[in-house]
Amino acid sequence: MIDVKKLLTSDQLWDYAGGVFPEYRKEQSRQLPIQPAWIPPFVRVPIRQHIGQSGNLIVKVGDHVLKGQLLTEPTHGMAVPVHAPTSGIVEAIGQTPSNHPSGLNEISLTIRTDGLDTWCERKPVADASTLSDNDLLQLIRYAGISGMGGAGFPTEIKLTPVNPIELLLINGAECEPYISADDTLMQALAEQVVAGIELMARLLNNPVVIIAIEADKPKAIAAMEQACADWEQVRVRTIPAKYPSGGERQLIQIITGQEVPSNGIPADLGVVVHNVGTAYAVARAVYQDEPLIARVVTITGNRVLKPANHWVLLGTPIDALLHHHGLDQLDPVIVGGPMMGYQLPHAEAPVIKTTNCLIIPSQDELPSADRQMPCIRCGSCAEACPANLLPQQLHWYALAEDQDKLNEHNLFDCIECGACAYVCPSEIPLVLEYRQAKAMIRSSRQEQLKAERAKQRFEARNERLEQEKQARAEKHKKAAEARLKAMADKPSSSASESSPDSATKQSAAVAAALARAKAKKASQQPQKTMIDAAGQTVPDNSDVAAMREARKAEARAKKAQKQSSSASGNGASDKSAAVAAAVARAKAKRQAQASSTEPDAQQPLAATASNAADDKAARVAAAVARAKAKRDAAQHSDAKPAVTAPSEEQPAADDKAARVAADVARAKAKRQAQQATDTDQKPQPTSAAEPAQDKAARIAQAVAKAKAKRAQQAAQDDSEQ
Amino acid sequence: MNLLSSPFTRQSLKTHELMRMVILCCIPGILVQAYFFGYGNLIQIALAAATCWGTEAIIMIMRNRPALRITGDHSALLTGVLLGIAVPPFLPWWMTVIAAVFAIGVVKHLYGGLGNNLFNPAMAGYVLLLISFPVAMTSWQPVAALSQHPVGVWDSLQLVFTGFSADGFSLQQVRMTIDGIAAATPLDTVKTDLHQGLTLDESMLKPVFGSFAGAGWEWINLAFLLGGLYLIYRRVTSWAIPGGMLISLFVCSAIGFAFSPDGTASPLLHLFSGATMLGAFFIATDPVSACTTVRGRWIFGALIGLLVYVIRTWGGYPDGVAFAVLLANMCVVLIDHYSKPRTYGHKEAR
Ligand code: SF4
Ligand code: SF4
Repeated sequence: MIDVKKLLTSDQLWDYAGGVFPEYRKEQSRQLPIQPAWIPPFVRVPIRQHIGQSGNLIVKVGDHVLKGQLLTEPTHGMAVPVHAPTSGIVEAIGQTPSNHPSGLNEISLTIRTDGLDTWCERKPVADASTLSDNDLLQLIRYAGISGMGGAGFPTEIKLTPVNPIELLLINGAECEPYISADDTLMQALAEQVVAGIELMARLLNNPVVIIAIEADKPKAIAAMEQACADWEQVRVRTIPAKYPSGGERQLIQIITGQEVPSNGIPADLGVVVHNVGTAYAVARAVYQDEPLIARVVTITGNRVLKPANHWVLLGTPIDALLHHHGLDQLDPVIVGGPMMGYQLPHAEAPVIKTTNCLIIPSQDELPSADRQMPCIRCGSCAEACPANLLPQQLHWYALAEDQDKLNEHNLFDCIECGACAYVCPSEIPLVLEYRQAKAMIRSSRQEQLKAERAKQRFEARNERLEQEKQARAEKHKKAAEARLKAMADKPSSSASESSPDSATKQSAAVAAALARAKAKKASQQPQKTMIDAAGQTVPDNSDVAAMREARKAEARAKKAQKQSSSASGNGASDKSAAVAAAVARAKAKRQAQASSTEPDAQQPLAATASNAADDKAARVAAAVARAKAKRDAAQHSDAKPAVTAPSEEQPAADDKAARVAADVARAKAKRQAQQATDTDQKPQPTSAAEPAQDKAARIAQAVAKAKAKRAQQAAQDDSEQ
Repeated sequence: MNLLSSPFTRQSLKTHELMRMVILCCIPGILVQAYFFGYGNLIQIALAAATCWGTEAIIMIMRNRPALRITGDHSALLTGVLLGIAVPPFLPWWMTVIAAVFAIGVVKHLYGGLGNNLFNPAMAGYVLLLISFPVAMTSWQPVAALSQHPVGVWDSLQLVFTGFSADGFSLQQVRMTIDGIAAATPLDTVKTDLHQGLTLDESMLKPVFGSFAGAGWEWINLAFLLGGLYLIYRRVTSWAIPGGMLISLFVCSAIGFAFSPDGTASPLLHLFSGATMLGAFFIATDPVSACTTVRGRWIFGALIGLLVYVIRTWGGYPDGVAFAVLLANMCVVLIDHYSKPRTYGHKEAR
């Protein structure tokens, strides 16, 4: 911990690594007085001007608002409200260009000013000691105060730290060239600034207060010293002018000799740093009940005839402001200092709480970096870096997008001060590279997170699917068992039963559906085109054919089932016959498909036509044959039986041309349909009226299709895995 | 107008200006060298610089790069100048050309051009010659005042391009001192003499020595020191490398001298003879092939100083700057890795 008492007496200052000495160019603008505020015809107040969320809008288009009136309400922790900077009418609420390097649009209120500048009702506090700490904090919160030095962190939050604070460091360094807003504020309004510091100190339980000001501001130093002459706990320290002494971490090092831990915040050391502008805003909010609606802005640069500091209403469009000051050439405008500022993408963007400087440079004032050369490893950047990084190495790794090396070289400790790029003789835009590299690493971290989450989701899903699959398998198994049982039971127990048992019927249907699904899956595998009987290439419609066949088979089975069950009175065997037939068909189909690409060795024996060698063709032919043996197909069926006819009563399973055989068998069975007997289980009992496709068959078909689809999906999931 | 990104202001010295400044700061040393050794070195410098520049331009054209813009960075010119200063004044022209082409074409551009070369190009070219033509590369003529046959501009040109002066003297004859013995550099002389058992004092009585180091050489070194100091003053280069090298050379030689005052060369002799100052301020400081961390540079410089001393004292060559620099170049990655500074807010360097 820091020996804070010593800080009040000792003259010791520490130095930080690196740092540069850019030309300050502040002389023209630091003269008093600060110019009074100008009321533009309209203001554009973004609802978010700090780090954190915006408050909730509490006005609407058409409302008349008074100066200082709350426009948004801070409903949650990091929210900071905004106020009407002057009186007028809310003309629009919508997206307008932001004052941000990205130039993206943001939500803002456009207020048409009435020029009257009428204040809303105010309740200034004369004696702050009458306020409780909590009231004071609420007051600061509702005054919309966020850090005015740069980042714009909500002040109220920084005044309620978790750790006890032993040192309140007031940053009046203002080390960036050109900017003199804090300088003139301290010169002109030191009393008020100190009053604000006192309030802050009170809220932090009266720590030691050090006000650090760079040596190039003798008038500000004198004014501040005078203002806090009769206050014990405070001391104004003059620090050497060096960039970036005003960086929070560097300032802490200069004053205390301690470094803020890499992933920590100053409060970890018992230090909190506030900007002088913020202190002034606090005093103003408490003693005048004036929320943060205006700030001091340095308007400077070679194009500006009279560089000066101005009070500017927050929300004043920058182009209007500069036109008002007689400037017409507004490209480029730099917001902030030349070291860390950014080029304003849209001149119509407004001045916001963190806008401390506008630079309108002449052509040769800030040369554009167009002569970039290779890095010569001169090491100047490493000597200049206040964070003690190796910018030249970061440069290499940023170009190579080597994230590991970038992290190893502590890229995220870079404060983007620009000292390295300032000294780089090869004019390499180092800071830009670091920003991009940081963005790259951040987004890849995001992606990693996302991928991690997706993976978890995926695994959970797989597990679920697996469970479902098992459940289904279980169900099927049960169904099959039930069916087997039924099959075993039926012949003995209900031989005389004339009407089919519904349970058995169901299991038979399930088996048939299974067979169909298998068939479909098989049929969906290979083949593109096939040769028809006439030797022509036709689109492969084996899928369709298979489907059709399945449908027909289904219908036939149904019909046969009905017929035989009603006719012979032994429904059970018939049903099981139908099931067996369906399974056989499916098997045959699968085999036929599997062998469809192989040359058929058996073909020469039987084939008279060369195209018959093709199994696919055979299938087509068979299908056609089934379609009541048309003329052209008859040729094939004639050729086929030479081989297959003798085996027509045997299991069709093993023959490569099994399907053909099965078809032929069916065709024959058709003829024998009337005399179907129970003794032979192999022939398919089919109906004579083949085209009879009843509704039930179609429904069964649809169910089968759906099942097949699901099975297919499951298969796909498996393969994805 | 696009200003790209912050910072929008930059310090004035650009890379090509840095290079130019280094070249300009060589001039005092070059002039003093010319005063003592005649026009030979000027010819060599012009030859080497022109060859380097031309080689770079041709390579740039071959690589489809804007030749004028890139050669405008003066880095090739600087390589040529340093090479020209380092080689003996009457080295046959084609040797210089070989060294220059090698330095730029192989050592610099085969590694990717400016900023990517591992070795100091000028020294790599120099060492190539030193290994290939050791005799020619160690043949310095005596300083003008001691020379039997002083040579003029025309003689010098003839010597460089034909091997004979306008009067028909060969290089060997030109190298004769008034005493009729072939001249050796002071460092060479000391080395040989000490080897032969003479004491340092006895050796130092020879005419090749001046008031405190080698005759002529002491002034050349002083002139380079002057130019180097100006570079540091202008912040073109920093103290680290030259400081490290000179301190380490001084310390090493002082220790050696303390142990054996008669048997080794004195620190003063080391510091102001041969290529010490040229090496410290102009050669070892080549940023591309040196360390980039501040601590690393001190180490880098110190390593060179140590190696120079070792080579001069025990090595086979009279001077060791070129070898020392190249050897140190090889250690750069290692030194850089272990001399990483501790980042702000971190407990240890990582
Ligand atoms: S921008 Fe980053 S790397 Fe460059 S000097 Fe600043 S802190 Fe160091
Ligand atoms: S200053 Fe520029 S040129 Fe020099 S080492 Fe750094 S990045 Fe390379």
